[in-house]
Amino acid sequence: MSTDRPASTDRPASTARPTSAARPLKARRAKAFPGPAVLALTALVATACGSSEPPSLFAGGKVSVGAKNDQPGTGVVHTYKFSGFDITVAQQILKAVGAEPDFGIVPSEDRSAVLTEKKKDLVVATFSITVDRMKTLDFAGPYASTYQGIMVRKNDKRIRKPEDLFGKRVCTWPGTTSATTLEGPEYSRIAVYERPDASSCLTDLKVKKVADAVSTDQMILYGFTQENPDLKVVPDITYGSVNHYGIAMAKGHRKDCLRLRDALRDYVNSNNWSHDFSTSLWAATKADPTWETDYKPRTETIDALSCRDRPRT
Amino acid sequence: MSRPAGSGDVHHSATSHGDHSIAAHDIRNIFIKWVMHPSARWLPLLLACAAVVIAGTDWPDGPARQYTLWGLLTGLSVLTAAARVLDRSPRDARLAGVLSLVSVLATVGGWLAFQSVRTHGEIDVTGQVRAEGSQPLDDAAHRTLTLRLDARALAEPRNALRLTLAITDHDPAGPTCLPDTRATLSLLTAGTADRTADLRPGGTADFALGARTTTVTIGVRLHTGRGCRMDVRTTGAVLHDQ
Repeated sequence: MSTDRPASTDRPASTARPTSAARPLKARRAKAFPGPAVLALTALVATACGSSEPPSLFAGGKVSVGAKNDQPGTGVVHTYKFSGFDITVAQQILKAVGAEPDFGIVPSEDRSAVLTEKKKDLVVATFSITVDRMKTLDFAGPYASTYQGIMVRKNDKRIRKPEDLFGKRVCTWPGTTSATTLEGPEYSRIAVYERPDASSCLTDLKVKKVADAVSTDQMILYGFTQENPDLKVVPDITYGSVNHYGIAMAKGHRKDCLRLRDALRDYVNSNNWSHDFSTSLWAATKADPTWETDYKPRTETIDALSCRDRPRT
Repeated sequence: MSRPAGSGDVHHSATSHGDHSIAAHDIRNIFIKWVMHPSARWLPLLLACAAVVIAGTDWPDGPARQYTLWGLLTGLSVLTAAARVLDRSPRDARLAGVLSLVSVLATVGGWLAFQSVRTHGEIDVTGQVRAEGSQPLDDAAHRTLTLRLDARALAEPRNALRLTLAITDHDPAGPTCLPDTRATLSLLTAGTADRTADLRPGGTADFALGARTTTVTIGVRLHTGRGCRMDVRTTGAVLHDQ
């Protein structure tokens, strides 16, 4: 994966000068005044003072994108190839702005850091837009919205409604809003515990059977069930408010962010969004007859949350 | 009538015709004599300063912009009065007269503007709004918050209340609900017309109050997404006359 920034394409043009012999007297006098040099310097100073925005992230044509590798349906790597809805969204949106993604793996807890430390240009990794994150990052989004839910073993008939989870062990992983939501006092009767990542939680649920359930966003959970037919999402159990996934970038690229927002708005309003969603997350569309209403973001929400330091109200 | 050329001939230069002209001439001379008197040059300044001091002791607070006219007129009165004081031996009685007159008129105008603010100006009562009810609020539980202003806050009679509410995510580290959140405010005060207003986070609603309102009660009902929990806080409450 590439993390290099494209070099600026704005370079001062060299100035051709006539030979001394061919120059008339006036021109020779003019030589004493270094006009081109002064103009170039003025232009340079004006550029430096007038614009604090760095070169476009899309100028080089290749954009480094952080993605998940362990979430089937949203972001997964099979035989060195990324796939999932996040991946498709990144490809479609970047194509619309004349660039293409160079994907790299980013763990959930590092998603903010790779952007602020300039290790990645964008993160498209089921990254929820929150008020706290909007203070340090810009988001173009949401490109999908989902509630937090619960996934259990398919043959487990004990868990059907929220109260059934009281006293049960529920696995989450750090760096996600799912873990934060279940920390609230209203969920104190659920035995929530953390494992380092999604794969560890799946192992606890499927193999070791030390977890009764895994909790994260329903969209991600449906993706897991696509590769784990022995697991199921409990549709009637949701937690917290709806998560809005956004394309994240470091602050300071507002023009690029607005271009992504416009491309995203067009994408969501086209048939491509529904096609790509149902292709990547067929388990969600199969289980939820109102999946388009549930997961597709509204244009007003995109406008309210995109490229801002705080949500527009 | 000829105009006085300077301080030396002001008493004898006018030409009179008839009783009215003689009376006008006398008044003019008395005014000029008063204006040109060495001790009289301090009077406009004393008057302007006295008005400022009295205004300062009776300051009703409220937003600064409503004191703009008072500030301009007071500034003008002090400046012209100071100019009159600094002009120790005016050669032209008209200049001294104009400075004194402008200063006195500006002082009177400023005083009237100040009294208007006192009687009808805005009063900031943000710190006196009491919120009753548990927070955070959500949509599903149909819980409401009640905002109250008691008689002490309403001591100065005003016929309207402008209320600004901040609505924020209870957990800013969780998913944000702000774009889908609204509040309905209902004026529940007896003796006032029933009124409701829909508010976005950070929005402002204006309620007409009765002439003799002694307490104000406003119910806040939140409309937000499923699972959202929001905090509501009063960031502005201003009594004013409509």
